Amino acid sequence: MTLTAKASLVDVEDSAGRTTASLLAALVSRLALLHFISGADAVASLVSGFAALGREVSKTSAGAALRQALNASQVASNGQAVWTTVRIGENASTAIPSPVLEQFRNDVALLLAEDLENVISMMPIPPEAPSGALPEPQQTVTFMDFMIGYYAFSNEVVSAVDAMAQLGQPVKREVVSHGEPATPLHGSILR
Amino acid sequence: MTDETEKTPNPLSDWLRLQLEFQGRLADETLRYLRRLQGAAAPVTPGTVLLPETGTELRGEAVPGGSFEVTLEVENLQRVHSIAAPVLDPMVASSGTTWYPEADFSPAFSLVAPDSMIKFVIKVSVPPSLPPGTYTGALSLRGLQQMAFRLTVVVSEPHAAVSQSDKPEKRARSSGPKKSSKSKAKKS
Repeated sequence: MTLTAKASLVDVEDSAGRTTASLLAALVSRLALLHFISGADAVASLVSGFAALGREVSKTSAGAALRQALNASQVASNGQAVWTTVRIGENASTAIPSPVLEQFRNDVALLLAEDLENVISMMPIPPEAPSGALPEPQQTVTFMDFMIGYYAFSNEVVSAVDAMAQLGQPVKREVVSHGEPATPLHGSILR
Repeated sequence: MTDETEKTPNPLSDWLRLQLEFQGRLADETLRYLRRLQGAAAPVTPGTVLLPETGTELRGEAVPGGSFEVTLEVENLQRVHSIAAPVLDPMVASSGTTWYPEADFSPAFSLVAPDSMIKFVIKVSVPPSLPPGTYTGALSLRGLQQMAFRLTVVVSEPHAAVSQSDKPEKRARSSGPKKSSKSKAKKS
């Protein structure tokens, strides 16, 4: 039996949307913001962002299974002990979660944009103005939330880099018969 | 003596403890609110929304030990590349049984170019020990779980499903009305 579903990926309503210009402007403003906040704030926001992703992934079947397995080991209790003692969770729980997955996906889209050179020549591009609405209240960040989120994020990075590499090199090359040979090894191996 | 002095209530120390707890909580909540104010001025991150085209309800049937497939076609209507990775939520029956489905996603992850479409085939295996019932879960894309397809699977008794699948064969084999009446009697 086969069930069929169809869906589209669209821009968020009442926003500038995802274009090369808006992604580049968002990246620039994200980097510029780092000059106005402390390192601790930036790290807390990132940790909180990974934890938010972890909470979302934990709701899925694979995420729940991973979480359950880690909870059954000593990893969870030891991790939470360190988390509480050095007050990582306390700092991250008051921070606004950084949308780490969206930011990464936007950066990937920027790398694959065909009009990036033209858009760079148009710099500086004003970023989309913040709506001014207060973000969702912060949630308590636990070690397991962070760990699952960091795992999911890392998986996303690996998969995205693999997928981008496949775009550039569709045929696997083990032997190259043309072009410049690689530099041969001369003398001792300890150079 | 020492036990008696320890048990004696000291109103001043209680008051001090309550004051410290209150001040600590107040500082924590103030910091949280200030951080939220700071977040209101944070740069906007352009995002993506999953928009179902043919309704959000997916309904199917399966038997324990069997499998079923879900095909999910995703079209990117944005002007830049997107990423799509399907995920399945645990499925819960009204009896309280939770089923963590093991699924084979093909592909598990994909870059989707602008104005292009990708088709995901998700093959879900039903465990042989799964009790019959109606299981409800969700199918969505990682990072876009605000919108999801509601997936309902009716898992029937294995022998009931076998007898149902045998029905057409029996009819085909039966040459006269007597045999069909015998088979009905056997079933009853």
